Amino acid sequence: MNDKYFPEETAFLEEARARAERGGLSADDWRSHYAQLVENYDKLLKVVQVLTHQATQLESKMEKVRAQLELQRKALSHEVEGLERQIEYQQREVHKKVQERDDLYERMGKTRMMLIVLFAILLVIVLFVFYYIFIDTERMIKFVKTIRNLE
Amino acid sequence: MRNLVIEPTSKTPKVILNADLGIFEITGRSIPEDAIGFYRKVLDWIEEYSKSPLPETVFKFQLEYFNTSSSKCLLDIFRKLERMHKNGHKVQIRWHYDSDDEDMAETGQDYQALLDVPFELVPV
Repeated sequence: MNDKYFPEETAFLEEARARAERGGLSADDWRSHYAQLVENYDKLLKVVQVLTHQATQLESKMEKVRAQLELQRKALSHEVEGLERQIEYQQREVHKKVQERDDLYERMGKTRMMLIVLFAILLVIVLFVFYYIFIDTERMIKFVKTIRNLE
Repeated sequence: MRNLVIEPTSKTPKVILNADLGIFEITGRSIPEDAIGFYRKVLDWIEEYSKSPLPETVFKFQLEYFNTSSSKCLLDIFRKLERMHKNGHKVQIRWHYDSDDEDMAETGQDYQALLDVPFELVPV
């Protein structure tokens, strides 16, 4: 702690100490100095009382602000927890949807392949029939006769 | 005499000490770490001004918040104004405060009780 806030008071105190050490003062001088000391002490005490009162007010204000901040911190913490839970739920939902989409794509792929195979088979049959009816008619007639003979 | 104007910052108040226009104001927030350093210029200016002041000096203080070391510096300013008053000059201190701020009103009352100079409390 330094004396920068109370330079006058510190100077007065040092002077009073020096005077007391020097001694050799008359009773009247002592009385006069003592009266001065009491007056300055009184002033200083009042200043200290004012500063202490104000410092207490400030601390009280700061404590109120601290309490408010603590409440806000708790509220925010609660909000963050809620948001985290919501995010987790959303992530699970998204994962589920992605899984469903992937399954759907897989099923669609299989169905598409089946349709292609079926279409290919149908095409072969159609081409086969087309060939015997319009291109190789004689063989077709023989084939029909063979079937009839079998009957 | 040269006027003193200090622009406000987030930690220091606005200071206008203009002897030409008769404006003496300290307004805003005062929470500097080195209050003595900040108010040194103000105290020196008032000391210089007190040698030949205007016929009437009305010093306005309107602070919304200040720390304890600023409070001590304000007291030092008040003491200088009090000395001017005791030397026969017309001096008045006006302590403006937010009418909702009971603490600031109380602080003004503390100063008022401590000083022997006209000290007016002005709710705004």
